[in-house]
Amino acid sequence: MFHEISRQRPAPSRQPSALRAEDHNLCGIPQAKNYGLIQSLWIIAFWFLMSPTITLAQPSLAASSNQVQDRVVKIYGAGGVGGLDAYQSGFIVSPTGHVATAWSSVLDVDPIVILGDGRRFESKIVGFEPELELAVLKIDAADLPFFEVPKSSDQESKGRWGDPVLAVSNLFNIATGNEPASVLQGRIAARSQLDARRGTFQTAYRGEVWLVDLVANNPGAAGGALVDLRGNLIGMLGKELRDRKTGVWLNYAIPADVLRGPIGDIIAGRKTVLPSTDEPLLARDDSHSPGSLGTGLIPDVLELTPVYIDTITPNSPASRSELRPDDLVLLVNGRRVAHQRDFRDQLRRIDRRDNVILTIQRENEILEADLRP
Amino acid sequence: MMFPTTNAARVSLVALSLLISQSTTSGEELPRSIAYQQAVAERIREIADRVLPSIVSVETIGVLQSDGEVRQDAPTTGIVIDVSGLVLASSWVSRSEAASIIVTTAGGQRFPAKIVGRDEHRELVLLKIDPKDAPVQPLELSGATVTPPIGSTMVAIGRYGEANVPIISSGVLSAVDRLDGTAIQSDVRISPTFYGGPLLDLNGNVCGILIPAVGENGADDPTAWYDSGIAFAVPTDVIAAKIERLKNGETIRAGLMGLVVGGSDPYAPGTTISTIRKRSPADRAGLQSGDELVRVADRKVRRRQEIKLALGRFDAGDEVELEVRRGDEIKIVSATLVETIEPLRPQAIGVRLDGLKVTAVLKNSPADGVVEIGDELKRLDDVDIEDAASLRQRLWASDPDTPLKLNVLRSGDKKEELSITPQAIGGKWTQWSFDTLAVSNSDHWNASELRLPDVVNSAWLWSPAVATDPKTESTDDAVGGTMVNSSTSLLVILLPPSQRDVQAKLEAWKDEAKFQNVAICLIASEEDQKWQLSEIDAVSKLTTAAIKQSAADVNAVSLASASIIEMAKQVDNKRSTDDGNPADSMALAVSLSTDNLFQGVAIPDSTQPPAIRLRRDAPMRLLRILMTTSTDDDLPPWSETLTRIGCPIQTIGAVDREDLLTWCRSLLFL
Repeated sequence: MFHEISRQRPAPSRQPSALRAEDHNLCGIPQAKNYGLIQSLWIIAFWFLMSPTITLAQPSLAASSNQVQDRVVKIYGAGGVGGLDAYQSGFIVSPTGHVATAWSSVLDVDPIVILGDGRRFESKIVGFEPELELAVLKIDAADLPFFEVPKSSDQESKGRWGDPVLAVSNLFNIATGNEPASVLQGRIAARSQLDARRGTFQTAYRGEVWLVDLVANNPGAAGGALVDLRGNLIGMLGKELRDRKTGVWLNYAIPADVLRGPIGDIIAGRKTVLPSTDEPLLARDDSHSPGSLGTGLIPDVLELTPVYIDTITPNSPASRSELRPDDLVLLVNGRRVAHQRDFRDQLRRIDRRDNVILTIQRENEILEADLRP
Repeated sequence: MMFPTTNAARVSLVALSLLISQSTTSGEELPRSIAYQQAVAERIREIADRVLPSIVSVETIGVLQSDGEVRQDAPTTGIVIDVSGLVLASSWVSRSEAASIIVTTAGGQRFPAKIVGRDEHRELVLLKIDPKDAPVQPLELSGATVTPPIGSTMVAIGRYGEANVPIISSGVLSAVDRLDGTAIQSDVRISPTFYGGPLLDLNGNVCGILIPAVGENGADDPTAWYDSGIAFAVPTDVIAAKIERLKNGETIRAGLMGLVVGGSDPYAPGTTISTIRKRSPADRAGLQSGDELVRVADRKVRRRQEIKLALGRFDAGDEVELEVRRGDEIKIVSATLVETIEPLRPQAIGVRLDGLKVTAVLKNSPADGVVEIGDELKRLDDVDIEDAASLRQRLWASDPDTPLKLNVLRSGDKKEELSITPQAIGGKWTQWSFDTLAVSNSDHWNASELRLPDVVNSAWLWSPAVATDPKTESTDDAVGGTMVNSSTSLLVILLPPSQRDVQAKLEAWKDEAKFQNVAICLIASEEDQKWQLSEIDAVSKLTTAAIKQSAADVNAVSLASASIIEMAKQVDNKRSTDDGNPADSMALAVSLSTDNLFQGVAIPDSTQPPAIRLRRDAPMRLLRILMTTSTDDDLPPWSETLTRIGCPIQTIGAVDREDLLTWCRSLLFL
């Protein structure tokens, strides 16, 4: 019934006059000043809607869709690792250039962000919440249009099952440059915990999600915006997720109220995962190192070798913690270490007598290991 | 089922719309769209809230897989329909043996359930839980439910996950009368979670129950279309009519009638019955071949496809009224459908016809000494014989060891009534003598490459040069009246993927083929590693072209895998044939997937059965299978399927080219 709203190329935002005229024609209502007439037509329209006959009017969602286009961005990574796609979507969450997106391998190197108007920026990863599959990028820009990330107590924008929603993303990398993102419409199907049966879904996220009744989660859609018809952000589109047991694909978004706290903290600078450079480099004998922790890493043969644990030394801080071979180290004391050079560099800034907290990924789980010297 | 408050809801909706439009007289578009969409959202929640107390989730636990592993399935949905704890769910929960079925009610209580009844025709099961003191709120499925018009907004409702939360999807009603009249269709975007859940209209009427299903020949897995905007549901009024049978523990299955309408094109006009299966509902109702079907239940029928649609909704045990025209007479009969019809045991008498005139009789066949060359066949068991094709069908469907009454016209004017006992086609292939066979008098045989648009397979044809202009003769001529080279058969041979030089391979066949008057068409696979099922269409097109070019009798077209000959030669090489040859499977797949394009297929017993789905609505199969067997004569277990669909299996120890071509010629005989 509401099918044709997914416009490939909507008119530029802020110029909706042409679309408005079209909408009037769709509704069969001329540009009338007689509001009484409009009201009575509306009554008729709703009667048609509720009666079993075909509806007369189909209000357009052009305005709903246009107002969010300038806040959705395209994100590109280094490309093509292991056949994975090197593109995804994101959305702007501060006027000063913070971009929220889904954490994925696209972000292994500092990604490129392309705004809705076609401007292109290099970005830094400033925020990283592995358990939410959330990353926040920062680009060097100002006065950008942005989404307010709503609180959970904010009923107005929380959304409920049954509500109409738009999923705005660059799925399949259809759009490039300043081409608008793709808009898909549907409804919130449910709000639910992901099925927690072990290994069912390959994701670290364990909280509640919005399930949607549209095929929103396709390659490139991750990090896109799920919005209500007023243009309020209600969630971030997740990565493609498939039930390993049944093979069924899941279409979901991580609710905005869940993302609000972490995004707020990152924007306010209360939390950052940027590798620390404020702390001084200590003498090798005074600082930590992979060896001092009792971790042997996989051979560092690449420029950006990921921090995979290969061996654990007996009777070491690592052996006394939960750390195991094949764990991937993501954060050191909350700071992101993208590769082994970063890892060594960060450890050089920590006193050998201090504890080190490693955030690691083990298959689908995100765990913290507290390494005590 | 209509909720009493529906009108009140409409009024409140209108009030809402009034409010919205008053508050937005500034000309803004946005609020109006929002109002519309939010009103629909409110309505969806209102509808859902009413039925949700009756919506449960159904989980199967401990499903044993074929590999011995225990599988855990995601829960699906069910509907409580009775205070005693009857729950309607989809066949998803019964498709494999589960250690336990658990129903979780709206209140979050879990109960073990057992299966009471199954509707295998509609992919539904009826479960029973013992709710004890726990209150359950049943949903009434009314037999008076009317399916809304196509295009109406529909809502699917289910329960999801461990928290049992409501899950919805909206869409429109896409179609009615789908899946042979058993289902309605909607574009609500459902995942398998919704199976067993209700499909409602915006008035809150439960219009159907969602089921796992795909369209015919759609996919192997019934869930394959879950995200494609195609969802099927069984209409509520139909379920209401069946529910008592399910409560009584019955298993409902599709009903079969046992009549065959002639013609190869199901969409061509014509509903004349060519064959009535013995002891079938159609037989018991007194229908005869030659009757023209006019009406099935309340539907007029004009084509075979329409008969299938009209019959498709009925179950075994249902009584169906049929109206037929027999001559000038209109007859109305009633038939009670059955679950299964015993498979055909195809029979033959051993005559070759030109039109309806006998041109040859096989020695030692049932016709030998009964029918004479030159006899014109008129009636079989008191029913006129229309043409050779319908006679073939009727003989194919006749009873074993039962004499048939055959009326013939002898020497032009003498009426004779003969009695003839047909002989089963299956079993060890006995080479009926071919002494009387006239061999083609065409000395000119040509080898030519077959090239067709869209077909990349290499194919060569060895066939007699046809004297007449090939354009003026259609293959139809070969069925009925006068025939050019009437005795030419056609053998299509699929080469193993490794063999690429088709023209060279043809050489070995030429002399024997010409001698026996069997045209040969060799086809190579598209790729040199494998035959693919997607090439069925190409083989079918090439065969049609070969029939046309060779002017072969369309009733004597057969298919063989080249390995059936190779194997005989390679026994000495001790070549392992355990893996089967891709061309073997392909030959079987092609012959079963086409509508009587081939009357015979020759394969070794080491053939791996192909992964194809046998169409339920296929016209009566007239396919005989020649299978080479190893010394012990044991047929592979999968060959039972062939017998069950009425394909006789003829066995032979090993074949050389001469045997194979002789067998091809035997297809010319009825």
